[in-house]
Amino acid sequence: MIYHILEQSFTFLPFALGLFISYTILNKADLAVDGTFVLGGAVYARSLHGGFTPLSALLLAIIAGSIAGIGTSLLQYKERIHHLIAGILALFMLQSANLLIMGRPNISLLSFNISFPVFALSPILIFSLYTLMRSKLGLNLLAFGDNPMLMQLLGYKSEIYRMIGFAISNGLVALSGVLTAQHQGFTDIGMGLGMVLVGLGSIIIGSEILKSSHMFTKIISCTIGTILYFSVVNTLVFLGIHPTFLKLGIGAIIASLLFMNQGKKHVSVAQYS
Amino acid sequence: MSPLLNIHNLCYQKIIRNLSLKVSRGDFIIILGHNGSGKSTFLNCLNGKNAIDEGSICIDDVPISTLSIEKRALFLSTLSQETQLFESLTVQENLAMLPSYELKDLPPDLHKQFHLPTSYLSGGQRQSLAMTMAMARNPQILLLDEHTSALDPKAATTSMKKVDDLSKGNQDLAILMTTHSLDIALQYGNRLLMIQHGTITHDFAAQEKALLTKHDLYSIY
Repeated sequence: MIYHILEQSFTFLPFALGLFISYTILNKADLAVDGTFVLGGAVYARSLHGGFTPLSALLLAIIAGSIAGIGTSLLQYKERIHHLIAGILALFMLQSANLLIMGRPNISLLSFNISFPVFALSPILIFSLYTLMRSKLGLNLLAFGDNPMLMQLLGYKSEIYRMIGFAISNGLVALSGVLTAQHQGFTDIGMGLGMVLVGLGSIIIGSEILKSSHMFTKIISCTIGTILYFSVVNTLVFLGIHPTFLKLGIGAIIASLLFMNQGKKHVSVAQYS
Repeated sequence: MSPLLNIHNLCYQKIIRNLSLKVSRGDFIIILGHNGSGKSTFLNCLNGKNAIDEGSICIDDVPISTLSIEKRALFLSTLSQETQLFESLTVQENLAMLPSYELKDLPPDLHKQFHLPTSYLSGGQRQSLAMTMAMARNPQILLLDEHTSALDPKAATTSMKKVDDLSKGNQDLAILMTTHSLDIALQYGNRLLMIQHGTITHDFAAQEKALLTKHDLYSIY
């Protein structure tokens, strides 16, 4: 069961890390990721069936996700459309795009015996994201999330960082879509439904449990949050909870965890000195 | 000699009405006006936050009205209460956002806080860092929008002395500063403007300003 939980968590981890970039770093809740998740699976499935190698199909899916992210960021350009509305709009449009790409609501991948090394991929992703956030580009992304107006006043074209951030974020989400599709053996047009809530839940749980201002701890907390979320889901399934009550049960347990953790930990000045 | 900043018939959403002003190098202009008179809106028209409806703004005869905020940042630096610092970043990271900085440029009182998020700094320290950041690009014009209003009297005096030293030490720099403090208006600057209903109603040069009393200012406020 533990292997199963970790496998599910690491398959989903790119999604959580992608959402971490938009939600925590850029300070924008990107609701379009439900659509990008399917887009990744859709491009991957069509590419595989079209004769592409698994690796090139994977890269195409990531590129498609990044392009979708850039599209969402353009909708938000200079906050002309609020980021929540822009996300919903982009999701709306991605649903049609995904159907167009797939041509039908479901594409089987069972004929392809491919297995991605999710256990090896996760540490690479965590390290890569940490390295990115320690770079000047990462600092600029953080600055954009903090105060885009000040960035402009200092002479930066701040909207570029929104675009870069969303491209990386949605590329990761699309990667998660590929891993999920390959793991479950099919791409389904509805497989992204509610994933943004799972992602946000994972980030929030993680950040409540491991409160810190340090970037590496923040990334690790996101990973722990993801593992914890899937642990709760699998425990409830293991206990034989009726599917009708599954999400109610998950919500109640997560809420209890958050309540218990409130006020326990505070970031202290001493931590920095 | 042409003025450094030449503003002609500036209009913005009925808040700024046909405002014209010429600013020379070395000018340290204090702008007074009651709440809603258009002081901050005027400064935001200069730095590009507000896109003007009519009129022209030229710096060294180069029109900047159509330039973006980031391009205007080559000429102008702004220091206001709400856009001073990157709050979630450390002092070091804030400074790393500048094109170039050296540790010796950092005010001594901030050396110990180098790795702290700026939210841990005191009002005076924040102001000090924000000023360092605003001046790091060597702007021709410094816009200060009520930047001392949240400071205690001691920190405000320290901050104003820094601005005064900056003005006296760099005769190529022009400073435009809004404030509600009549004491600051009388003590600092070499020119004083009064803005009412989006237009300049009084413009006192250095000699006239030196003769003004607090009562005079209060009566025209």
